[in-house]
Amino acid sequence: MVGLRGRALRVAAALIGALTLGACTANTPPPILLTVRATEYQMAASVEGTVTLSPSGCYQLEGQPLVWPAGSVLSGQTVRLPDGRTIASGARIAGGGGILAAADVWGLLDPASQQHASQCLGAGTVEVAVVQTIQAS
Amino acid sequence: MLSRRGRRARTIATVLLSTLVFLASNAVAEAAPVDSSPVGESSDADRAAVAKELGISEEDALASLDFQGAVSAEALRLSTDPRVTSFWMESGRSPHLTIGVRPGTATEPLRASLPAQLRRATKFTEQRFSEEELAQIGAALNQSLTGGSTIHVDVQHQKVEVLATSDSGVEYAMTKVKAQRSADAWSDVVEVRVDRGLTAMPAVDIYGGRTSSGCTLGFTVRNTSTGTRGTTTAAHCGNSQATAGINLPFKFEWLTGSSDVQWHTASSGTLRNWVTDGTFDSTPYYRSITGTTARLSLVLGGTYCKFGATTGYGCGVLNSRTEPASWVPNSTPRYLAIDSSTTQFCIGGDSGGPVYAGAKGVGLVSGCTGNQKRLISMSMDGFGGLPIVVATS
Repeated sequence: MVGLRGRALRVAAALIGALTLGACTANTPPPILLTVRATEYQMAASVEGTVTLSPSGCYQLEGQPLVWPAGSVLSGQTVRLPDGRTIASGARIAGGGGILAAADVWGLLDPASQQHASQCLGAGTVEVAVVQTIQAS
Repeated sequence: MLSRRGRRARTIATVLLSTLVFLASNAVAEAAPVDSSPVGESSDADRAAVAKELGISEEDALASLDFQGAVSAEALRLSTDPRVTSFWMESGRSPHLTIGVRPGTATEPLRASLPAQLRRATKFTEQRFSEEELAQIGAALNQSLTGGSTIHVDVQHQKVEVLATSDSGVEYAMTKVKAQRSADAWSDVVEVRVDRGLTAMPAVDIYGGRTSSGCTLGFTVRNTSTGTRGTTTAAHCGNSQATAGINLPFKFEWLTGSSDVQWHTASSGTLRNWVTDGTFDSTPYYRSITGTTARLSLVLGGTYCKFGATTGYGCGVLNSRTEPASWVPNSTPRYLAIDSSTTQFCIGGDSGGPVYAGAKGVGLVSGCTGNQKRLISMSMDGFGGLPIVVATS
């Protein structure tokens, strides 16, 4: 028999669940997407590895900060490439670009990325993976 | 005279037997692959591959393979002939057979026993030990040496080589070998030496064009103040580099102005002044770099070649000596643009690869255009003022 008391308990449990979920979501910062400026030429190093998301919301490739191809945009928790493909944390990518010292990367970023690059390319960053093209898997 | 019943039984038996024979013959035919060519005949693919491997025409490759077939047909007989110690052939444009024989053996009867095709192209050499005897000496040594050494039997040169990885390994092996050499039976046969290349890992020459941690090695270089040799790749490649399992400690990088280059020393292996060229000739798949050509000595419209770990060897036309490289801070327009109208000329992984003309270094692969037909190369200007120079010996 479910009485008034039981119903109240259910509502309370639902409320607690919703609040907990909300709190968790609020603690997960939105990912920070750094993209490279569009250029005619690109570097010719092979850059590959598994994409991860750091606790501070920075995308990384094999533990190094990751700069995405020009024209990439955030789509929820995934990154949509200019050709429409989407890549999520945990995906393995391979492409062309370069592995650069953090100081050398700033000038390659598009203006929007430069505004929040310090959050991902801060002090202590040694090398950054700059991916200018990503091969189709 | 058989009865009607007997005739019927004979007919049934005949039909059954015929059916069985037919089935059996079909089963054999299905089990064995259908091959109408004589045993040992080479395929077109073999012929082409052998021609490429030996650097000879396909016609010569076919002749060499035919000769090999003739030797193969005699192999069992030669292997069991007590006068014969070993035999081997030299493949190539003029294939020939060498037969090792016991000292004092009359070789003419042996020659006469060979088919005409081999008779004309066979020479004899006296040998003390047969292949099997040398293998037995090697096996005996192997039992007494506990690890760290490798035994190699070289029947042509009548040697059992004990290859140790270190000087102390050689001393140890020598002690063991001497202990084994009763009555001096093996004198002049066993050779003990250090061969780190063969025993620790395959001999590795380090030179331009080799794959290295997402990029390509460029030129072997020499530090002008210390004389230390090293190798290069593009500065926009990772600082942690290795090739063929050999660690290449990072020394310094220059990613500015006309330079996109970093250099590394090598923890082992031999640094050669070579670059890969993908061509089998007297210097198979490499060429020596004996000098460099300055940017302003390059000819617009001239052809220049490169080797990238991803796209391999290729040549294109120099269409600009004044390109910038947007990824290089404070880039100066001293980069080269080399175009290929036919092939995929440059992709990720090619960075750092050597660009050259003949035996002269011209630059290092730095970037590409999106359509992969244009390569951007650092010119030799990029080495200007650096404490490293391209090694030419």
